[in-house]
Amino acid sequence: MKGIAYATIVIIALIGVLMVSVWSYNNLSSGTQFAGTISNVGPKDIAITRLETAKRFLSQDLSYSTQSASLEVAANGGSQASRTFWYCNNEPVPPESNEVHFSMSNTSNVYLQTYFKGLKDSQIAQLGVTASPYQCNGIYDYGKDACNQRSSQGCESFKSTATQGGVITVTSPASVTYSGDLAVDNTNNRFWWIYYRLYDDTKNNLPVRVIFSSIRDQCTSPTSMPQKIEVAIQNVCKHYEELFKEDPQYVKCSYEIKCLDTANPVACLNTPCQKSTFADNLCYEKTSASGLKTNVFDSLGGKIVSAQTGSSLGGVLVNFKLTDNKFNIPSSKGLQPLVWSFWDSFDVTRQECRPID
Amino acid sequence: MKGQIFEVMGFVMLAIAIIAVIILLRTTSIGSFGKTILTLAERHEREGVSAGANALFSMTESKSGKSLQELVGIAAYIGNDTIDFGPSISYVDVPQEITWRLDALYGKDHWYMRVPYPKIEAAIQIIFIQDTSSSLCDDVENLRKVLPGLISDLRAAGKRVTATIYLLEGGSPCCGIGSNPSQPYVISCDKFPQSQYLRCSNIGGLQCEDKRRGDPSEDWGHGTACAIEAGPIEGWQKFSVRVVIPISDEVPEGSECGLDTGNPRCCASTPSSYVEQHNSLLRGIEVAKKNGVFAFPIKADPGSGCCPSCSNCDAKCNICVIWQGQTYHDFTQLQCQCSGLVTQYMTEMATATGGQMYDLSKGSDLASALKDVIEKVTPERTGALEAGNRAGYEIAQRTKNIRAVNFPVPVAVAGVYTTANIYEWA
Repeated sequence: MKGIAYATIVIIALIGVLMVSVWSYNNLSSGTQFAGTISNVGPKDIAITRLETAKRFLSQDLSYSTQSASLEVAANGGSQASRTFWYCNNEPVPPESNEVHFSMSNTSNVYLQTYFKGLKDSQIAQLGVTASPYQCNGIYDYGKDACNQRSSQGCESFKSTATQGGVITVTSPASVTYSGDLAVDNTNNRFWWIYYRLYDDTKNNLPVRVIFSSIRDQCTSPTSMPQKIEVAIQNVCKHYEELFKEDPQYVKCSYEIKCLDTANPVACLNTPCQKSTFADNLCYEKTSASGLKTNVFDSLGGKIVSAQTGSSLGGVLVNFKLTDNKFNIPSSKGLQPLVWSFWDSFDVTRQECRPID
Repeated sequence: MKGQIFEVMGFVMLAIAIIAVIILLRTTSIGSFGKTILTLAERHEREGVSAGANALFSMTESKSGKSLQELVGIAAYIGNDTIDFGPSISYVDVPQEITWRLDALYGKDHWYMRVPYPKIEAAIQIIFIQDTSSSLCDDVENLRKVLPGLISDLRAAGKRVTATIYLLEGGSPCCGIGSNPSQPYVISCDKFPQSQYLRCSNIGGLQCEDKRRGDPSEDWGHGTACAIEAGPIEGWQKFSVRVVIPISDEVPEGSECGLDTGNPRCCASTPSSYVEQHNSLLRGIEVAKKNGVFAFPIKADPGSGCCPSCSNCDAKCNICVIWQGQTYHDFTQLQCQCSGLVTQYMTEMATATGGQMYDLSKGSDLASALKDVIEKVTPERTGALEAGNRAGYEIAQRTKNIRAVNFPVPVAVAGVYTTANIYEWA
């Protein structure tokens, strides 16, 4: 009887142990499930981190591309052609803002595509990261009002975006996909400040006035006409430096006279410099994204010009370069100052001498 | 007795059951718990390092307003840890900017970072302006022998070198040169085995504003200007290192002075007589500077190497010239006397453009001179950006558990990436 009583106690205890065991196991297994969940989340976390890294360096690619484009477009005078006329036979023909935006958008996209091609050969591919290229780069400056100021302070940067594409996929250690646009701020770059100031100055025809005024001032000078014209061009350069006057002076002007003819002015003026109205849409403003396929300068036209016979003192074709030494811009060309290079053709006409007191 | 046996058996069963349960739990759940905790701990540590590195690359440097990622990418491109952002921002020392930030994140001396700089070899484009007067025949023959092999060797060594030889127009045939010394030797592009990396053309075919004057076969001043404006045959590349090498033994337009008076002489003592020649030189310098071209003029021996006094020279110093069908063995005394002025002019051009002048009459070897030029113009690059405690890292590698993260970094040249390797230890 006593043994049975003991046995009963043991069995009860055993049942108790079993119940505790089942309860513990149940608790532990649900804990294990949580642990499993945490473990499973791990690879996804790593993949997401890689995705964030990819977004970060693609943004950097966009920044480099835009900065490179700014140097290239400025060196072309605001377009994608190797030379852009701002004066055509005394008529101001600077590239319009949408044309410059168009060139910047296209050129930066070309650079960005190169970066995307480079992804295949980099360590990024080994990390299991792939990205499809963006088809459109947007360029957003602070606008004419902010940029056309004597101080560049409000216009020393601009934004750029990458849209229409850019699906980033991470396949290892987990599969994660991101599809979204990129936007970066391009700092320490006075591309738009110089463009808007120069545009306004050109539209107001100030350089031509400087030339005529200079010719008038040299009315009684014994120097030859080519020398007088060169002095006038020097004065235009001084005028440009005055336009960007700062303390210290960062923007320097230089020029190269490509053609100067006083005997036959037309010889220097028969350069195709007239442009038809720019009509392409920006890929980031309208649905039309024809940008990459269209060469805006196919529309460049030429016409035979004739100097104002009798009153023409000479024709001159000149290439001005405005170098902004304030910032060195990182780009595919290395660290370089921004250089705006543009072409002007002037028909220097006879001016009435100033009355002598 | 029976009860006691039951009692003992009961306790034994109970003990076995408890042990079994403990073993079961140990092997199933708690073991995996332990592993999970270990994994999580390791991951936390690694993610901590990773988060620190991510934070670092997103931080902005105050002077330039650039992210650390951008700074590292720019440094990797220029191959220099210090970046010059221009007079407004001045210099930014990238390792210094990284150091104080990672010291704060990981602790001083507990980390090391290395970013290998990609091998970005700038293209080196060389233009030769070759004087084609008969006294240069031996130098052209030498160039023909040396240049193709040199270009091939340099390219095989990874240098992106191309060369264009522009021959100045004119020039008389000479003799006693080449594989068949009895035949007239005419300086022409046929002499050079051309390839996509080595080309030759006559300068007369170029469209340029600068026409050769005086003796056109020797006007290497205007010739330099013209060739630079036209560029090498493949065109100037955007990011290339540009070099021009005029090869001559006379001043531009020729060393003869007073030809119009019928009394040709070297005018070294009267520099004002050389206004035209010097203007030609200045034009070459002007265009070279404007286009960012380094000039490395090579002075061929005008006879002064063989005969320093330039008079009563041994016959071996003569050159063989064919003039109007007749063969002459002459010593160019006048050119020899002007040797010093040629050196002066060539040095002036080299100094103004950041290059160097080589004097072959003083025993310089053409091949070694050209190799020296390439070495001088190749931009210096350091191998990698390094920051943090490298010595500590090497010790920690052997003794401690190091956590490492790698990040791709875009370089400022389109399409190129490098990797930032960051190591941290306790």
